[in-house]
Amino acid sequence: MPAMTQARDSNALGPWPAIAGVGLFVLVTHYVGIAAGAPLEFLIIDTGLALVFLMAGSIAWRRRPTSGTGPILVLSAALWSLGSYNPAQAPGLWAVAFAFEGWYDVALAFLAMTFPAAPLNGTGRVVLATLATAFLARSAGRLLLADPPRTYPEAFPDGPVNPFAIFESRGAFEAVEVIGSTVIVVAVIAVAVIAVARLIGSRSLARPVIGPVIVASVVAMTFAAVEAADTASATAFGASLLTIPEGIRGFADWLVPAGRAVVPVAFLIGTLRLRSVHGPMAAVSARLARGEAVEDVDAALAAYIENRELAELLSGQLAELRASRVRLVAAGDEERRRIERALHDGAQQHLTGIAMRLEEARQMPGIRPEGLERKLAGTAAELRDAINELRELARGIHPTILTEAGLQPAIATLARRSPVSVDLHVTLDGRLPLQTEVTAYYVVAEGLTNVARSSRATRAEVTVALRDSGLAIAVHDDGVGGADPDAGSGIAGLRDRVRALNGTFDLVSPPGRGTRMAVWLPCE
Amino acid sequence: MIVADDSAVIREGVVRILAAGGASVVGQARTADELLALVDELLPDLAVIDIRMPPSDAAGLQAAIRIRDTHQGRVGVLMLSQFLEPEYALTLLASGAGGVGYLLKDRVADGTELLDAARRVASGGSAVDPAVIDEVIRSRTTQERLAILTPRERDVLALVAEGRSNRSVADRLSIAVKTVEAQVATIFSKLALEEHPDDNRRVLAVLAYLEGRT
Repeated sequence: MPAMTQARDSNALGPWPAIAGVGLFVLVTHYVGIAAGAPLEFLIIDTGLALVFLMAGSIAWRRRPTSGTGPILVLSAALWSLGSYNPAQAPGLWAVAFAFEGWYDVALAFLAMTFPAAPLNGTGRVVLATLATAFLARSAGRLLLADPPRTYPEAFPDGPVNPFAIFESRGAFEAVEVIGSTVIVVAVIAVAVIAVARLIGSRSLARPVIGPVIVASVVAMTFAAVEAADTASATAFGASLLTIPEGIRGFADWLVPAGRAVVPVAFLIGTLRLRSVHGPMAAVSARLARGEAVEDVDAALAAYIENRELAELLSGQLAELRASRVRLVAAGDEERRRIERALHDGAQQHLTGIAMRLEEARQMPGIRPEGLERKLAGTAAELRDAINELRELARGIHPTILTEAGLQPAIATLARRSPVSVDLHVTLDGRLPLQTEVTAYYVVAEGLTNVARSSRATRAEVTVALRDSGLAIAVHDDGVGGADPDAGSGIAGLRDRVRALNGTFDLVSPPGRGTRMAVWLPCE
Repeated sequence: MIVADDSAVIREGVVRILAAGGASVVGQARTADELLALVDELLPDLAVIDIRMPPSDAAGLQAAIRIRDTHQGRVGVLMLSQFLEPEYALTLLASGAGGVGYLLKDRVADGTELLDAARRVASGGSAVDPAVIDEVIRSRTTQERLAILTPRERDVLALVAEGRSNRSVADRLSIAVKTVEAQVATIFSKLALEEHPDDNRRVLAVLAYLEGRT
């Protein structure tokens, strides 16, 4: 089938040349039959059947160009025509026709096991190969081992001559006929069984499509078995094994071609039903059934899974990034605390100790050089200034009061130190998570710094309250407004910090109407 | 007296100053636990305590509060701190019972300030570092509230807030006690504060007012 598909693909005319060719072949062979004086009823049945195959194949081929069903049905029309006449007047044609009789059953067996596009499994392959081999052997025997007038002088004294017979042997011919036909009987029964098994194992959605085809295939295979058995019994050797009564044989002569006519129609119906449920899923399932779409579906699934994995990876990384941002903030805070502690407990204590020793030295009795007292007093004053500076520095780095006493007194300190009068509205009870407290403190600190620095405000209001399982902080002033949240690193850094903690940051500063900084922080 | 500080330099300096001032230092402690044990054992009239001591950051403050509460009035508590935070002073003064003080550590270098505060606290009074009071009074909001006071009244208020008695205020400002009493009355009336005969309660009320807590 791939070769046919390729031919179709490379040919802009599509399947029509092949169909036309087969059509011509059908007409020629049947014309030969008519010319040879074939009986009318057989002419009607055989020619009609060939044309039904051809038409069904053409429609299937055109409607479902990617399916192999159409080409195989068309091929079956040719094979049917090839074997349906054995006009004695054309010796060469007769021999070929006789040799290749029944080959369409191989094509139908293939369709029965694969329609519409299922892959052939191991058993199917063995059965098909066996069937083809048996037909091949029988064809070879018929073509090369028998010449009726010589092989069967009693039956065909002036019968058709086989010009291809190279070795005339009645015994060998009959042996091949019987063995080949017997194998064919077994193989077509196996095909029927496989076809029925496919129907039973198919999904309900697929049954309307393959149902008629399978039924027709079973009929066709049954007839093929009957025909093969008939062939086997027609030989003297075969007749000794099996004798088919004349009545049944005569009945079969009519029934078999008529029954066969159902087959292409059934395939056409199946193909059209396949067409009617045509859609993305039908195409995919057909491709899947054919085994082609496995890679596609695999790729699509892989892409989907990859997307999911990528999304998971990304969200994981995002969460990790958020967590690391929070950790960075926490690490920064911890570092500031450490420095503050080092300054308070280290340098400041040390300087205080020195101040005490200096004071002791000043108290020491005895005679002193001129100006020593003044110098010592000056040094002591400088030392005090240094200690004060250090204290302010440490407080700026991290307010101890915040960690030890909480947000309220820490904010009170900020308000107390603000050069602008501040109304405090802090309603809190108990402590909050350290990061929330520290961030809230920085929010108020930065807000009040901005109020003092650039707002020309006379009053500021700080509101801190629990809201929505978080902490809402607002710093509001009556200044000139027009503050730019993107100017100055203080606000930007604060906003980053708030967002790192999954909080919200709003700065509203219309010109002339004051500035309001509103922050909400989660308390988790 | 007992001196508790994990820094040997400060501890010994404080001990020297107190001893030079005539006080008898009966024990020294380096940790809050040592301090509590010593206080329970010796029941001194005063414990000078570093706000930050092992084992934890707030151990000194917690120990001071515990001593204040368990030995109310008998053992004075003078906190030495490197933090200019009125909050701590207020926390200590919160009981209003007196016998508590909050002094900045660098104040200790000036022996007379330490001795003065130690004496006041040991005798059941209060002492708040002038720098802490200044921190509170300096605030813009407080300044606005105190605008109705004369400069002299503000000076008196600051000294009252330090925990000084009328006499002590009078000494500081070199004026008569009667004058101080009159000024205090005016101040309290202007600020709509309830007058307290008890100095310690008065300190607490004034500090709370200055901090805007009333």
